[in-house]
Amino acid sequence: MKLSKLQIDGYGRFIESEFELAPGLQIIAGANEQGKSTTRHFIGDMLYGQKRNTTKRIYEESNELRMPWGNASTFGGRLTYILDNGHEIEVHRNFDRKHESLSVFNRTLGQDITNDFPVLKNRESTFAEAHLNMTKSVFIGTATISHVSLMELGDKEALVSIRERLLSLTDSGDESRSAEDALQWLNARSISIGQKTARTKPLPMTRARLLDLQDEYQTVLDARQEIQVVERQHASIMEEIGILLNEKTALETELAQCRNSEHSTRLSRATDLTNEINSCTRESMGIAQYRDFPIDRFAHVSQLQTQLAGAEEQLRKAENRLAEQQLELDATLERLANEGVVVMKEVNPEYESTLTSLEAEIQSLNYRINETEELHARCQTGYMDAQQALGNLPDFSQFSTEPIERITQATAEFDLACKVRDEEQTQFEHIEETLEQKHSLSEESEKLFAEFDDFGKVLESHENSTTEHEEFLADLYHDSEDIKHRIDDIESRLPSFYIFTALSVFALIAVLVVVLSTQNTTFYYTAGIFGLLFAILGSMTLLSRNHLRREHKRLSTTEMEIDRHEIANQRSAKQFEELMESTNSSTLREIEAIYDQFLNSQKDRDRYQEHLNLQQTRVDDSEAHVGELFTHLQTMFAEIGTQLSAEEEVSGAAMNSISQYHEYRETKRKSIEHRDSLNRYINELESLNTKRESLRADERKHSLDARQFMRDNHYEEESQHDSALSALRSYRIKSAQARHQQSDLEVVQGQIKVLKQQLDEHSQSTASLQAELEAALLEASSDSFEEYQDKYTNAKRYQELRVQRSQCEEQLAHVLGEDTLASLEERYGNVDINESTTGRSADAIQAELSGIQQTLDDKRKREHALHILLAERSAGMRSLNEVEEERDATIARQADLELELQAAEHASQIMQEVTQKRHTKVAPKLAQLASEYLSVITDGAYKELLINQDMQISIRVPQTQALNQDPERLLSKGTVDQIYLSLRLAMINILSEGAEQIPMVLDDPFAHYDDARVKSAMKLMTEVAENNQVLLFTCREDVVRAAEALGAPVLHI
Amino acid sequence: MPAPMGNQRRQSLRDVFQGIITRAAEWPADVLLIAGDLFEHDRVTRDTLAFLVTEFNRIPDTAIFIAPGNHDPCLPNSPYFTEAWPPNVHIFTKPEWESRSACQGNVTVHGFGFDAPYITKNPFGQLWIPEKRQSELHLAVAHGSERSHQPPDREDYAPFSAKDVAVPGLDYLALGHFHHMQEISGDFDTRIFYAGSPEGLSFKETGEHVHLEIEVEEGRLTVTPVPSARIRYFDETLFCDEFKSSQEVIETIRGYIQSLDTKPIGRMTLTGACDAAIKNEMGFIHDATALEFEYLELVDNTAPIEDYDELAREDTSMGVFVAALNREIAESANAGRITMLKRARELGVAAFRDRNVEIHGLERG
Repeated sequence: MKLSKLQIDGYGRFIESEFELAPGLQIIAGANEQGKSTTRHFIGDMLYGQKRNTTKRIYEESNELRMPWGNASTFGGRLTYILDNGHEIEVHRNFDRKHESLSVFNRTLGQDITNDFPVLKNRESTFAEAHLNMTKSVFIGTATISHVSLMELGDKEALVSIRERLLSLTDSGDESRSAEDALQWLNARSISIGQKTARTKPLPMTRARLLDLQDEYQTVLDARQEIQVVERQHASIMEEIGILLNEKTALETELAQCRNSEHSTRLSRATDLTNEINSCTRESMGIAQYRDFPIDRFAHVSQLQTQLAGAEEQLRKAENRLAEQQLELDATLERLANEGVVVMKEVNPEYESTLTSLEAEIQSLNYRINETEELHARCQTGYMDAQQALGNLPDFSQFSTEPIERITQATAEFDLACKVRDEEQTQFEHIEETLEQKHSLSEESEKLFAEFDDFGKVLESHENSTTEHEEFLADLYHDSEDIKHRIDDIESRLPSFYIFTALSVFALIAVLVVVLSTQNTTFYYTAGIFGLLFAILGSMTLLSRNHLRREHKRLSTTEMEIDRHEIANQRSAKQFEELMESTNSSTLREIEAIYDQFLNSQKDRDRYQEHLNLQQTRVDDSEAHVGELFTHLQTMFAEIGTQLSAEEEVSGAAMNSISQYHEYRETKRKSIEHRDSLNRYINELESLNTKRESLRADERKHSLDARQFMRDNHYEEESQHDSALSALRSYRIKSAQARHQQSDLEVVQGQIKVLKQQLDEHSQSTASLQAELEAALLEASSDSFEEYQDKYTNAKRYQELRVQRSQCEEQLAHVLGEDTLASLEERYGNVDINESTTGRSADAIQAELSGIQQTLDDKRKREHALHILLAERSAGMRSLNEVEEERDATIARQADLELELQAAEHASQIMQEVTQKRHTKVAPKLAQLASEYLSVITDGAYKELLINQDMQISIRVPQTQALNQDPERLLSKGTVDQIYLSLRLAMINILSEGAEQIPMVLDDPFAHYDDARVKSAMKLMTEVAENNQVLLFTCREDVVRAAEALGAPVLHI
Repeated sequence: MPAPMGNQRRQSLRDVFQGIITRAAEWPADVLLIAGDLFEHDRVTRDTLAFLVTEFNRIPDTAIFIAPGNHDPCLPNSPYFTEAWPPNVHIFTKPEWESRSACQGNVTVHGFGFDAPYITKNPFGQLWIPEKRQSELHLAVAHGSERSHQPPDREDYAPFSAKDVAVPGLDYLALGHFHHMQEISGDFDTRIFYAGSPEGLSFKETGEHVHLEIEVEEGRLTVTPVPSARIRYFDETLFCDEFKSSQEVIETIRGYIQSLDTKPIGRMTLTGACDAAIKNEMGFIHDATALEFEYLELVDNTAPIEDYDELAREDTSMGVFVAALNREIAESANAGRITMLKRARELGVAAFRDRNVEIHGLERG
């Protein structure tokens, strides 16, 4: 593309201005602030517009800065350019935002081609991009070159700065940012998020937090389930409490009814008592005259009367019996004479009562013992069952004090280790895959460079030897040429020698003929001279011939040497030519670049190999860790009888073990309960047995005494009785019978005797009693005992009434208590005594109520314990919602961070690959072109500029002929400027390769060049302008003069 | 929303409920109908149940009828069974209509409750009021999805048609399930209302939320929606094409909420194509406006700053980088990977431009 005309309607300081531009080098000269930069911006804006970016209609600052002061509607102009295919394009633009317009005409075809190009999101046409094959940023960044000097680049490490700019241009089309910077940016970002090895960065911290939250979630979930169980128990207890409360209320009601009934009964009773008191009072008033009757004497008098009557009756009976006994005595004497009756003492009744009491007590103890034994057997069965169940369950007592915690912790640790191992394995596979890719990528290069231990040194050695060979060959060629020259010289001189020798011979012969013919002696001198001349010439000819022979010989030797060296050179170069052929390289530099790339790839591979080894170690470690934990788990589960054979079984085993532990705990509790009961029953049984044994000992002792007594009294049948008590009973009957039989006679005799004595006594006592009775009746003013008895009856009744009244009053006081009859009547007067009651007494109800209250208290204690348990389980624990919300937020945050890290790492990876390929591709061409430009601009002083795939620049310094990457100390500032200019021009050339030739816009690039360098630079510009149009803006007169000297057109603005 | 907001939201819902109970006590209301989803069965805490019991105890003279829904079904371990509810609370525990009288027999309340998250037996349509009792006041409370108002993309629960349940004699049907207040009207005399949630629960539930106050006087029934929410959700989209600076965005957001009487919980989605300078200040915009909100979620849906198709055409490493990622994005079928690749592309270009890009997932503050 060649810009041919600028027509500015209004742009910055230009109004209605027009500039014709030459197709090659065009100098645009003007003092500062005369519009050079404005013109440069006009070209850029006309081609690409003034939008700040490609997505939005936001204008650059230039839109306001370049707006003409007078009429904004003229803001714009025309730009005409000719494409490499010869088509002339004219662009019309108006930059005024209100009247913004763009028209693109193909003047050659006479067509409006404005709409032939895609439109960007910012509504800009892409015609310039299509014609120049580059975006605006690349055009501005690359094709526009402003001031270049060490002042900007920095005095030190200028090549480093140049490299950075070069990298930036290659990478971003902008001088300020390179892929290296971008990679650093991405790496810093990855580090700040937290890479794999980091521990304190946001991502690992989020991961750790998530693990904590998942644990907490599980804990809360478990606790919630546990709480639900406890809550169910609590609800059940509450229900039972409710039932008990209902029962209690019913009983309290019943008790109240019962109490009311009692109070009513009390009222009734009090009323009855009051009535009875009144009745007593009334009746006692009627017999009050007998109140002084000596009632206490009545018993005596009555006794006297009875005794008298009795004595009289006894007297009569004794007389009758005496007669009867007399008759019986006779009969008994007769009967006993025929019978031999043994005497048996009467048994002491204490024996029987004691034994009966002991037997009852023993019987009672037997019942209790049986009952206790039954309970004991039941408990023992329960205990045995529990023990058997415990035997079937793992022994958790030796396992841990907190088995669930131990199992949960161990399995959680194992799960975490498995997860880490899987992650490490995945990472290992990823690295391995990457390494394999690296291997496959570098396989070809490896084959190529396999035969070289150090290709760099070989190449360097080859280059050095090639250089030496070339230099030596050059010397040889030079020698050869010298020899040839000398041979030619000799060969050119030798005919003359022959001629002159022949002429001298002819002259000598002629002179000798003349001498001999004339005999003129003077001719002898002449003949002598010619003779001498002949001798000299002859000698010289011979010498020359000898010399020629020697030179020919030397030439032959030199040529053989040349051939030898060339063959050696070719042999040495052959392998490199093969390498070049196989790598499609045209220069050794390219091979070197490929080798460098190969080395880097090897380093990269080694690094990955190291990484892989490290990762392998980590995988092994994590695998070992998992193994250790698995072994630990196997050991742990083995302790509780669970055999683990595979990792997958861990979770199930843990669940099963926890379940077993719950069962174990419950069974253990039952076992302990049964054991405690057993102990209690055993103690009780011991106590009862001891007591029973004591009683049995007493019983035995008493039985032995009784049996001894019976044997002593001739009762041999006692041994036939199992029980001493039954023997005693039998003995008592038998002894009674025996005594009865034996004593019949004695009794009858004694009775007769006694009866006789009694008859006397009765007679005396009857008289005595008669006298005493009469005295007593007289004392009571009674004529007869009947009168005395009537009086006594009334007096007694009076006294009874008094006693009865007193008792009633006592009872009344007792019944009323602190109440009065009136208050009772008031309160319970209307109570129906027959109100429905269960018929149970208040005490029975109270007893039942107490029982219920006791049960209720127990239940409440249990309820309170469950309540405390619930509070304990819930204490310090966040709600499921809270944990879940934080967990979800953390998962989202982790996902975001993972995405950020993955994106940054992926971007970094792609960027590395892309930039390496691009640098490898661009670097050799850039170096070649820049070398050519540099050679021109430095008049051949610097010919070779090398750029490797990292875009590191080195230059072959003429003084040392060595490649130098640190040439600042050897290069002048101007030279560094020239290097930069060469590289920039080379860059434009590369961008134009195979496409439209890009016009270069240079804004005073030689601002700090001295005259000599300006001339050289202008010379270069002239050469460059043969392909690419060069618009060179300058304010320097020496530049203008240099341009004019080279015939370049100068446009003054 | 960040985790601590959950507790604030739950407390706010309690406050709203307390406000409704206070209103019922002061009015005083004869009957309180709760059409289900009073709590989340799997999430309810003892503390929440204690709170509910305490609140119900505050209105002992108000008959409370609860028709459990799909979120609080009467499962065997439901708090409806295990908790000791005050005597004025009646819970319809079975999925079949049950009738209870209230107000000394002047009102009959019909209702049914879910006994599982999904009920297979749908009692709607089985309500029947004897003809001789149709002149009395009959109210009903239930939970389910009315078909004509069921969003097509949402799962329905106990679906029914209003005409099937608007039986003769039924004066008012209180429905629960949909979270916005709406009246179901049709060719029937029964007034049917979804009261909605008394306060919004998510950004989908913007606008005003109410409880309904129903008055019956001389056979005339009036329904009054009374605002009950303490917090309002707010979800707006802001087009950023014309904004020149973050200040304009901030002022526009402030202008949006000036008309509101309370601080909302807001989600502001920025769309359109905004300048890179604004896009880079999203964090600042959020922080500058967050104080105006109870909580603010600022969603950046603005178009990418870069035209990646255009960038891919650049003959630079950056251009090749973008082209490589554009290719990967085009070839990838996995949405997650595409998101990652797009972010990688954005980061790569930002790295070349040395432009600051916020790291998503960092805790603010």
